[in-house]
Parts: sequence; C-alpha cells; structure tokens
Amino acid sequence: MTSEAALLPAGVGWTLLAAFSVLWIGLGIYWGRRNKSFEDHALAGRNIGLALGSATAAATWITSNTTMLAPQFALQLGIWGMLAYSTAAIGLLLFAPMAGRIRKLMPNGYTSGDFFRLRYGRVAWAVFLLFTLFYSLTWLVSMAMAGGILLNTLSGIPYAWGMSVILGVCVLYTMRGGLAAVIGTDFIQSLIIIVGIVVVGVAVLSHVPVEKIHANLAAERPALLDVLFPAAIMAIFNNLLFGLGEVFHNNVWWSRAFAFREGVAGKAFALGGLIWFPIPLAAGFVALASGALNVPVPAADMVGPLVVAEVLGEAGAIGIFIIVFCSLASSIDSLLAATADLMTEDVYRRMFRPAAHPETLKKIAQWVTLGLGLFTWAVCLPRIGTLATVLFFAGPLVGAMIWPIVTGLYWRRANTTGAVGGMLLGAGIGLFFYFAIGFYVASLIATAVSMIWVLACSALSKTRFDWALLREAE
Amino acid sequence: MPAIPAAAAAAAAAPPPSFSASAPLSSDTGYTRLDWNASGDVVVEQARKADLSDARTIYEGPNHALFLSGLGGGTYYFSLRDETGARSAPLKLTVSHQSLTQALFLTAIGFLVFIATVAVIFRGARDDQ
Amino acid sequence: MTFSTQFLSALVYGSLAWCAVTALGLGTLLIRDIVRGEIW
Repeated sequence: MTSEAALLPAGVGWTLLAAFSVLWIGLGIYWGRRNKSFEDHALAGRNIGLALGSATAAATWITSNTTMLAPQFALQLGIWGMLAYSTAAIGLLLFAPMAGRIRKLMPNGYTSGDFFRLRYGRVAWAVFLLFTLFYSLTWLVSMAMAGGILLNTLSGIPYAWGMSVILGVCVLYTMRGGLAAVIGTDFIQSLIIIVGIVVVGVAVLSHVPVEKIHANLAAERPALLDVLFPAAIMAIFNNLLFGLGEVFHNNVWWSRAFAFREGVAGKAFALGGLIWFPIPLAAGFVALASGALNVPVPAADMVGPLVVAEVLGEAGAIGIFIIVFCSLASSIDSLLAATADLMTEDVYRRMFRPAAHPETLKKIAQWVTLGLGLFTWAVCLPRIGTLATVLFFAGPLVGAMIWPIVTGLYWRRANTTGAVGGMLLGAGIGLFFYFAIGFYVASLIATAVSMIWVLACSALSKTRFDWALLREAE
Repeated sequence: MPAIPAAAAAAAAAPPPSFSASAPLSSDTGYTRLDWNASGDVVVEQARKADLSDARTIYEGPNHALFLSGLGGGTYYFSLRDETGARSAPLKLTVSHQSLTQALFLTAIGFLVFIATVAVIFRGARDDQ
Repeated sequence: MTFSTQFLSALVYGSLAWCAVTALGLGTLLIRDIVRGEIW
C-alpha cells in the first residue's frame, strides 16, 4: 500500500476547481451564442484564424499525458525517453501539408469519416469507425480517470468527485459552445500550461544546477544517460509512429483542418507542432532532478508533482494543479466535440437521416456530447486501473491507418483493397506482436505491415480515383 | 488453541519490516518498484553483494514504496531496517537489459517506415492526370 | 557512451527558452489577429 499525504489542503483544491469551472463554462456559454447551425457548432463557421488555430493544435496535443507522463517517461527511459516523447510533435508537423490538401479536396467535408466513406467506400468506413471509436473512447476514459486520480493525489478531493467535476465542466461548455468554445478555451489553457512549465523549470534549475543533476544521474541512474539504452531507443520510432497514426486519422485533427480559415490550416498545424515540441523536454527534465534534489519517488507517475512541491512548496502544488486541470480540459473538450461530431455526421446523418436540417444536427451533436460524457462517467466511476492500459492497444490500430490515409490523399491508384487489408492486417499483426514481444513494437510493426500491403495493392492497381468524388455537395 | 509465548506475541504486535514481493525481482528496462510493509519509518539499503557487505542507504522515511530506475545490468540486493533495528530478509533484483541488436534493428525499421511516409507526403499528389 | 552534461544543459535550457518564446509568440499572434479582425 502506498498512501502518501496530499500536497494541497482539500479546501484550496476545491476553490481552484470551482474558479476554473466557472471560467470555462462562462466562456463556453458566451462563445456558444454565435452558433446557429451544425456547421457553426461543429466547425466554428470554418473561419478560425492563425493565433487560435496554432494554439488549439498545440493545446489539444498537450494532454495530461504530456505534463504528467513526460516526467514519468524521463524517469523510466532517461534522455532518450524525453526525446522519444517529443517526436510526437512530428505528427502535427507532417499533418500541416496534409491539412491544406484536405481543405482543398474536401471543401464541404465535416469529419475524417467523410474521407473514408467517399474515398474507399462503406467497408473501409466501417473499419475506420470501429478503430477510431475504440481509440477516442479509451483516450477519453483514460483522461477522465487520470483527472480524478491526479486531483485526488494533489489535493485529497475524492476520486469520484474530481472525475465528475472535470468531465461535467467539459461536457457543459462543449455542449453549449461547440468547437468555438473548445478552441477559445484551448488558447487560454495553452498559454497557462506553457508559462507554468517555464516557471516550474526555472524554479527547479534555481535549486539544482544541470551539472549536479548530470553527476547524480551518472552515479545513481547511469542507464538514463546511456546513448545505447535498449528499452529507450526502441521507444523512439514506436512513439513517433503512434503519434503519426493518432493525428492522421482522428477527427479531432480533421475537424480542425476543416474549421481553420482558407490558407491557415497548414501554418497553424506547423506552428502547433513547433509549440508542442519542447514541452515534453521542459516538463520531463524535472523528473531527472529528483535524485539530485533528494526527493524520494514512491511511484513513477507521481515524480513531477513531488519534485515541484519540493522546490516551490504550496505555490508549486497550486501551479501543478492548474497545469494539470488545463491540460486535461484542453484535450477532453476536443475529444468530446470531435467524437460527437463524428457520431452525428457519420452515424446519425449518413446512416439514418441524410435529409436532417442543420439546426436539428446541432441539437443532435449537443445531445451526443452529453451522452458521451455520461458514458465516460459511468465507465470511469468504478476506477478500474487496468482500463487505462487498454489505450496502448490503440497503438497498432492507429498505426495501421497511416498508410491508407496518406496514400488515399495523394495517390489516385490507392484503392479499397489496399486500405481495408492494410488496416486489418496491420492491426491484427501489430496486436499479435503487442502480446508476443511488447507494447514498444506494436505500432511500429502495424505501420510497417500496413505500408507493405498498401504499396503492393497500389502497384497492382488498375483503378484511378476521381478526386472530384471527394467534393460531395452539401 | 495453544498458549502463545510472550516473546512471539510481542513480535506479532510489531512484525519486522518485509518486502511485498515474495520472489526475486527482475527487470529488462532498468526500472522497478520496491513495495514493503512496515509499521513506522524504515531505512532501505542497496547492495551489489549477496552478503550486503557493501550496503548503502538509498531511502529513509515513512513511505511504503520506492521507484528505482536507470539501473545498469547486474544483480542488486535490497534490505529494510525499521526504528527498532529489526531487518527484513534481503530482496534480490536482476537487471538484464533487452538485446541492443534487436533494439537497433527495430529502430532501423522504424526509420525506414518514417522516411517513406514523409516522402509520400512531400512528393505530393501523383498520377493526377 | 553517455550523454554529456553539455548536451543535457542544451536540452534543458533550450527547451525552456523555446517554451518562453512560443508563449510570447502566441500572445503577439493573437494581438495581430485581433487588430486585423481575423480572430475567427
């Protein structure tokens, strides 16, 4: 049993939670008043500018994983671990040229599901929906659970309450404000997170110089500094490809490609990637300082908050609380919005009610957001710890979608056999190796298998896709 | 039920600290977590020799777990001591890192797949005519 | 072969400076967008 005392008094935790909840919900209601139709609600009128666009790309990618798991990764896998984590930025950087292409090919598109349906047909669409819903729902559940657990460890707020409040607040403002509220709050959240990380980093360095951190690591944890640390170098490309698969397929990113103003999408994703890149390093290195600062770490996932509380005391704990709350909210809201839009557009509208009125669709999207929130809440309530590990199964699923998407956007000869086979074979063989060797090879093998299959099918293909088919009329 | 000797009863009231793991630990990543049961503060010692002759303190305090990472390959021994001086049985940890050849091979595949993906994106639209 | 102190310093100071610059950049970009009326 590990029962360490909370870093903050519960009263302070509740006050912070209440203040930020009121702020986000207020902004959501305020920004939501602009939305009349489904297009306004889901895509903020397709007119997001560069500042908000870049910030939302970065903020959505800064999950509780970035601020909490980066230190854990650094403590477990050392310098390569931090660098491996940072490679996830490449997903955003590579999505930049793709976003421009998507906007051009599909001026009326709503979701990544629209792309699969129009480009590869219904079977590929069904496989895609299955994979993406699995990924999105496990991501959502794992973050809501992480939220409850983190608030509990930081301030002693009971798990069920912390989880319910975070989820409830995000559901409320996403329902009311749609993508505009998600993107507006993302801007504020990303600034708070970045400034917070810089303050924390400078504070840690003022207590212990880098030379001392290095000397302590060399003496106590030599593998963390080893250039040829096997577990860490295996993580590099597996992590990179996992990130690529996550960004390329998920409607969180596609909906932003559709929502950004003409000409903004490419720049915004590239800037978002550049903003995100240093964050795992800046947030992660504090874990490496734990030894030099003499902070004992009972569990790897607590290293970040423990070091910060040691260095900055209660002010540091308050800072961590705010950073964690912002990084959770900036991702939960985006996932809720994008998944609700996907279910509204791809399931409700395309499968059942093709003639639905835009205002009805907006209402449906709001109810689906609420439904998703309730579903996530019900799954999170029993606090089954092993559920979070299910997210790693998603690695091979998303890796297997990289090549069908990339070739589908650029090659006319990419075809349905290649896409469906690539997704199923890649995911199947990737999952097999997940259990046979380990999680650190699963995404990599899935992507490689899917790539080979897609390349073979494209080489043998006689069909040439007509790009005009992607410009579906409204 | 037979009568319990006084000394045994006292020992049962404050059992010596003990590690939660019942079997020796092993790690292929250089990290692991030590968990233990104890009634108060403990001192955790780490040694490289089985007789603990080169033991040194790595933790002192009230926690019930310690996360270790970045350990080089080899064998480690840990022991606990509580405030009364009672000691736990030593716990053995064997660290043998994963194969470097396998790691480099997988990294090479990853690099190839990544470069191919980048190439497709930056070459742009093909056979558009 | 181990990562040197200089490398670790560059990584740590570089990433913190980079974060600080991006925070300032984002603020500037937002003001520019507001002035031009291009925020959304």
